[in-house]
Amino acid sequence: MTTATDRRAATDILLGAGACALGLVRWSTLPIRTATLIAVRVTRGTTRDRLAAALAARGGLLRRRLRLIAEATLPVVLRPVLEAVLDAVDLTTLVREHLDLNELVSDVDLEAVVVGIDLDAIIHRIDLAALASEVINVVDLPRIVRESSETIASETVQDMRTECARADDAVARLVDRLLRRGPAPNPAPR
Amino acid sequence: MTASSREYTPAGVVSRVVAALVDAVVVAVTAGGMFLTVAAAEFIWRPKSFSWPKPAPWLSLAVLFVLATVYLAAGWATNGRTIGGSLMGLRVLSAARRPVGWSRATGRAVLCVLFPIGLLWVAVSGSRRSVQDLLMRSLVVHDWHHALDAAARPVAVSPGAGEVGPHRRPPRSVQLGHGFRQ
Repeated sequence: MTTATDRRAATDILLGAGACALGLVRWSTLPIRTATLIAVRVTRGTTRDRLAAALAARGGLLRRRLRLIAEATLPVVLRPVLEAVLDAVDLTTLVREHLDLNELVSDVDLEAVVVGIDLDAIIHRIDLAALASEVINVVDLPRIVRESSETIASETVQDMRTECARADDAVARLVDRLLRRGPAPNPAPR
Repeated sequence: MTASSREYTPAGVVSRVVAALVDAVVVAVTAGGMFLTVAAAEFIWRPKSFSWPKPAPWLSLAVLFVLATVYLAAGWATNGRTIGGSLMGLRVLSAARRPVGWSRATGRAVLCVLFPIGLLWVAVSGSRRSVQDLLMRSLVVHDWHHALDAAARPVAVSPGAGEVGPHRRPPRSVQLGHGFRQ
């Protein structure tokens, strides 16, 4: 199993080789570049134009061929490379540690998202009758209505009795006062 | 006075008048139902020559008298209370705080029907008794929560006692609870 040090060393070697190759290419193309510069300075008018057009046509052909090669090879090469990179990297931890999701979400216009939602269509897809029926069955609404009605009726009767009893006491006190009757041994509390 | 402290104390004129009015409505509705029943029977028997019955006044009064007497007597003798009494939480007991029997209940019912104004004597009486109660030696008490046997249990309520509870058989002179004269 390769360690991080080994992988770093291999990367350095590859980069060094690439740099050497690039230097070699620059050195090897030095005569061509020099000749091109002289040709551009020496030639004039139509000769230079014909030369430029011929070189441009050759360059365009090469570019098209390179593009075809890239389109054919890159998917084959890129996919394994990406898979290797993703296997080596824990994207979830990476996002969690380096990405502020709250800040991202705060930038999102949720109101526009909600406005775009067709709530009527969602509601139409829900069987409201069945849902209401299930809620009523679970809640036992008839029992609640029955108990509350009984409670209201019972409280109403109790209140009526209490008020009439108080009126009885008030009448008794009035009559005692009118008849100038002395207070009872233990008068009823007011 | 709380509801619990008012239990078994004699009922006053307002409560008893309201209960009597409810009973009167019940009797009137029953009489009306009987009238409609007679009319319906007559209509079924002679539909072509049907006309609303027109009973003689004496017959109407007699029916009302019998109906009211039976209704009141049956209620007081069986349960100590009529529909009006149940609504107002009142119960008719004897002076000894026992259920009234059929004879006393019937006599009391006749007196109530013939002389309803005697109920107003409750306002004047120190012991909250009507003329009928004095004649029939009965008593009307508040009984909002308990059954007949509990209400009719002989209790001794001495003046000044805050609570009512079963102790022993009451003396001949019944003590009615604090604040009320004999």
